[in-house]
Amino acid sequence: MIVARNLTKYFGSFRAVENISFTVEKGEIVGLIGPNGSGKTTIMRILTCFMPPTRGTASIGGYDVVKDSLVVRKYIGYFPEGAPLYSNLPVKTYLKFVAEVKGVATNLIKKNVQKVMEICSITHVSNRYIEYLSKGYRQRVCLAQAIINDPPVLILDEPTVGLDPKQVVEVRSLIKKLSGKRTVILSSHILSEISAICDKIIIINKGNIIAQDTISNLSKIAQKEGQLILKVRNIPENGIENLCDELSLDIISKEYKMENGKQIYKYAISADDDIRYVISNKIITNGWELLEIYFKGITLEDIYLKLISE
Amino acid sequence: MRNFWSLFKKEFYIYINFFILYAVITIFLLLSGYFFFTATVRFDTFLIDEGVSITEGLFRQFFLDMVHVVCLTVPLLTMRLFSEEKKTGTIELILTYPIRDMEIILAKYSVCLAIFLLMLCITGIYPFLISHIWRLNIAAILSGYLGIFLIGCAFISIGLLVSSFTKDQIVAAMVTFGICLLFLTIAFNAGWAGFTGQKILVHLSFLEHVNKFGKGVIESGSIAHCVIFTICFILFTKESLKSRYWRGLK
Repeated sequence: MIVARNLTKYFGSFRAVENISFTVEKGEIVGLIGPNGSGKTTIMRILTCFMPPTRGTASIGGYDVVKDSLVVRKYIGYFPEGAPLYSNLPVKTYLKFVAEVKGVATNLIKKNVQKVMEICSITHVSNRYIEYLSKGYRQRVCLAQAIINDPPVLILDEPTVGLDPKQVVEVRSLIKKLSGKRTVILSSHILSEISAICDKIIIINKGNIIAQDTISNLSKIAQKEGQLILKVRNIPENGIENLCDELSLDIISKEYKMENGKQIYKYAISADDDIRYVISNKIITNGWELLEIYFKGITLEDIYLKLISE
Repeated sequence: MRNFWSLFKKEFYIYINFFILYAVITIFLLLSGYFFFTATVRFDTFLIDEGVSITEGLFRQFFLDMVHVVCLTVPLLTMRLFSEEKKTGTIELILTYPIRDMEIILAKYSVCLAIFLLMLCITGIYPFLISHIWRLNIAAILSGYLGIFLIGCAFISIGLLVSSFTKDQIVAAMVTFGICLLFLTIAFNAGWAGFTGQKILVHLSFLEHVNKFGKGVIESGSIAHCVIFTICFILFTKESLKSRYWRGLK
């Protein structure tokens, strides 16, 4: 549905994004994540035909964002960062205007406006001027304008930024509801938000894609990169070291301390999988004292931070 | 055409909820009324006995004064056109709707022009009142109004362009006023430019054109000057909007 090939954008000598390539299949919800200034908004502005790339191509539904700009714009619903709206217009008047310019058939305008207001739960504020709405409602109105012509693609740039926790939950569930059969690209710098909504993540840093994968694959990586924490007592010298050699495991760290006059060792072992059962069995069989054993998986957040700091 | 009409309605709705509009209309009518009054008194006191025609003695002066009022008020009308869209970020939204840039520009321009035309029509009450006292040369008066209208068109196009450069409405108004004033008075003391230069400056000066229109002289050169000027500035605005391609949303 969305294909980006080697997208590069320069503003003067400043490179905003470089060689960005990705594909989004129909019905997928993809999260663009990266620190502030990483190039997320630039990618979205290229995809929404706000500006062309300096190099590379992008297409939506088979239409090029530069050559077939007007067609592509009908295909997408865009939610720009900060939910900019015409404050001097009442909600209903504004949505009617958007429906008209987005090419909704005249006889369907009233129906579509009513429908999106119901979906976004803004019917009760339909006659209120946008400037008097709370931030949460403004976000909803902005989402409503994005879906007024029922576009197959939604591009949402930080839709929950600046909202209180309750509003964040409401807007997230609204996005989830809106996605349905639509293809959605969502940008955020909050990983928990992306992982709660999206199927796939594209991590961007300093204008480059540094990782792109499905949430489940990234979670598997996180699991694989976990550590086994082991706390033992009454062990022979190099007992755990020999055990790790036997099982081909690497010891990341070893700590030693005295508790109640007894030596206690704490090991962090690099584990490919949760092999607590194997290790605990060996320790008990050898007659050593096992005080604590647990698997500490790394989170998506840890992977993200690791990737962007590399 | 549907897009244009939708944009026009939207812009018009925003304008009528823009309190400065009413202040601008009030200032425009107060100043034009005052200048009409002073021109009438001057004509009645000094010129009528000298056999000067009403077109020459009253209306030419009135239109020359009016063009300054237009120069003052048009920047206040145009200052929000693109500046506000840039400030609030709605420019990003509207430029990603399936609309051509030119449709947006023309809709904004047309709304401003319609409001300006409305203000100008209200001043039609002055010659209407005078027509009860003196016999008027209607054609000459219409010629004067045509001149003011064409210059208004040109000034609005300047305001349109300037507002596309900045997020700040005050800056947009000030710069527009400066440019309008420059094109109005560019032929003042133009002797320094030499014979040809002076001729060029005189032709560029809107004051010279309004002087001719005010006398009831409609020259194709004057009309062409205003029309070409307006078209050029509208096209510059289109290029200015395109600057987002290389400078983003600054």
